[in-house]
Amino acid sequence: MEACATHGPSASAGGRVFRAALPPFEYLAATSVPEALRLLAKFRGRAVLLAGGTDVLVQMRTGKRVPEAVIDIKRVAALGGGVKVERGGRIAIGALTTLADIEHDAKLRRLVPLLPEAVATMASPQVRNRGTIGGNLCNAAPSADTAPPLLALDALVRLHTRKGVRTMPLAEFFTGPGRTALGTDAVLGAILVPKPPRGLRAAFRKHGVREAMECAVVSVAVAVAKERGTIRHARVVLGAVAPTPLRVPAAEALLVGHPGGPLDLLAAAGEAADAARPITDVRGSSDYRRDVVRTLVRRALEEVAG
Amino acid sequence: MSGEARRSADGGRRTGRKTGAARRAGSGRRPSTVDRRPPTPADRAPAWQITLSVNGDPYRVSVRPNRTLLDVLREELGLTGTKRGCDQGECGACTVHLDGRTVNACLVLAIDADGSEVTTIEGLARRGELHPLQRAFVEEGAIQCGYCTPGMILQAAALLRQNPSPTSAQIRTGMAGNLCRCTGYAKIVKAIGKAAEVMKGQRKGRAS
Ligand SMILES: Cc1cc2nc3c(=O)[nH]c(=O)nc-3n(C[C@H](O)[C@H](O)[C@H](O)COP(=O)(O)OP(=O)(O)OC[C@H]3O[C@@H](n4cnc5c(N)ncnc54)[C@H](O)[C@@H]3O)c2cc1C
Ligand code: FES
Ligand code: FES
Repeated sequence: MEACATHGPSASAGGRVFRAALPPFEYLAATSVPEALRLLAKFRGRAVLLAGGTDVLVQMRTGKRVPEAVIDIKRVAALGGGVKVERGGRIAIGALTTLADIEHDAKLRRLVPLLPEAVATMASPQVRNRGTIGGNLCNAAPSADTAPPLLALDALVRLHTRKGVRTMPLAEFFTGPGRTALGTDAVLGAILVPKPPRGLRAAFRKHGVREAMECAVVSVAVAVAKERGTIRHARVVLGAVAPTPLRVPAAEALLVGHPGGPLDLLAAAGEAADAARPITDVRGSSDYRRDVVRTLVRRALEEVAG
Repeated sequence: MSGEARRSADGGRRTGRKTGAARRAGSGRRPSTVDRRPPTPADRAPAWQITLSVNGDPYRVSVRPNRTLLDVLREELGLTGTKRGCDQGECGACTVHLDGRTVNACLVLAIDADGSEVTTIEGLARRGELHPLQRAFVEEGAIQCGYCTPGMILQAAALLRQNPSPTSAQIRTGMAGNLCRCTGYAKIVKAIGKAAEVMKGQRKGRAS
C-alpha cells in the first residue's frame, strides 16, 4: 500500500526497515482547531497531523516520514460531526468521519450512493474502521479512492487556517502527489457536497491487481443527469493516472447536449484515455493503464447514460 | 498469566520496569538503531501513562509515543496471541477489537488507545469454553500454522456481529484484510459459516 502514497515507487528500504520500531517522536493531542494550528506553526513543517493514522503510521514505519512531532487531531470536535444534511440539501461531512461510517451512512447511501459505494471498495474493514475521509484527501495519493467520486459530485472543502476559515473547490485542493493547498499550516475541517442535480446517476469503477486491499491501477467516477433524453450535466473523473485526481472536461463536453448513445460514450471514453498521463510501474504500464481508462469510462457511462 | 502481566505493567517505567526491559533485551529482536539521523528532541520524548482495559482486565502502562498498541500488547502485557505480521496494515494478523471495532493494532499508537477497551484472542473463550468461532476453526481444519488465526477469528467475530448470516461471498469481502499463507481460505470461509450457524442456534436456545 505504501506505493499508493505517491505517484512513484515506494521509498521503503527493502527488508531493512521491516519490524523496526517507529522512529521516536513527540506526541501532542490537540483539543481545538486553534491549538492544532498553533502547534503546526510551532513545528514549522516538522510535525504531522494524525487522524486515523493508516497512512501516517505506514509512512513512518517505512522511513518515508520522520516527523519530530505527531499532532493528534482526533479529539478536535470541530473536525468531527459525522454526516449532516444542511438546509438547502448540501451535505457536510466532518474530516474525521471514518471510512466505515461513510460506507454505512444511511443519508449518504440515499442521497449520494456514489461515495459510500466507492469507499466500500477501499482497503479492509479494519483500515476503514480507523481511516478517515479527511486523511484520504489530505494524504493526496493520486489513487486516493474518495477523490474521484467527490470530484464527480463537485465537492468543496472547508479549510481552517491562521487567517480563518476558507472554502474552496476540491478540484483546486490537490496540487501534486502528496501535496495539497493546505501546505504545512492548515487543517481540513469538512467536505461539502452540494445537493446533486435532479436525476443524477453516477458510477465508480476501480481496477486493481486484487479486488480488495489494493490501491487502484485506475479508478473512474462518472456522473450524468439527463433531461428529456438529452445529457444536461456530465462529470468524468479519473484516479491514479496523473499526479493528482483528474477531471476531464473534454470528455464531459462530448456528452452534454447529446443523447448518450454508444458512439457518444465511446468518444468520451477515448477523450478520457487521451487526457490520462499514467506512469509505468509494477502495477501496470502506461499504455495498459490508458487502455483500462478507456474501458472503465465506457462501462461506467453505459451504466449511467445508457 | 494476566495477573503476572498486570503486575509488571503496573510497575511501569517509574518503579521497576524490570520485567518488560528484561524481556526486550533477551529477545534481541528489536534493532537498536532505528535510523541514522542525529538525535532530536523527539528522542527524549517523555513516556506517557495510559490505562487500558484488555479482555476486561485493567492495566496501567507507561509508553513512549512511538509504541503501537501491538507493541504494548505483546511486549509489555505479554499477550502474544495477537500476532505481528507485516506491521503495516496489510495482513490482519494483529487484528483486535478496540472499543468494539476491529483495528490493525500495528496501526494504532498505544497512547491513542488510552482509556479504551481492547479484546484480544485471549479474551474470547468463556469460562474455559472455546468461542464457537475458535471451535469451528479447529473442527474444520481452518488452522494450519495458526499465525493468521487470532486475527481471522477476531475479524470474523466482528463480521458475524454485523451480519449474523453472511453468504460466502460476504464472508470473503468481510475477511479481505486478513491474509493466510497456509490454508487457501476455503476452510476458513467454511468455518466462519459453520460458526454463524452455531451462534444462531445458541441465540435461539437462549431466547426460548
Ligand atoms: C492496508 C491498507 C490499505 C489501503 N487501501 C486503500 C485504498 O484501497 N484506497 C485508498 O484510497 N487508500 C487506501 N489506504 C490508505 C489510507 O487508509 C487512506 O488514505 C485513509 O483514508 C487515510 O486516513 P487516516 O485518517 O488514516 O489518515 P492519517 O494517516 O491520519 O493521515 C493521512 C495524511 O493526512 C493528513 N491529515 C489527516 N487528517 C487531516 C486533516 N483533518 N487536516 C489536515 N491534514 C490531515 C495527515 O497529516 C497525513 O499527512 C490503505 C491503507 C492501508 C494501510
Ligand atoms: S501486523 Fe498489523 S496488519 Fe500485519
Ligand atoms: S494458518 Fe498459517 S497463515 Fe493461516
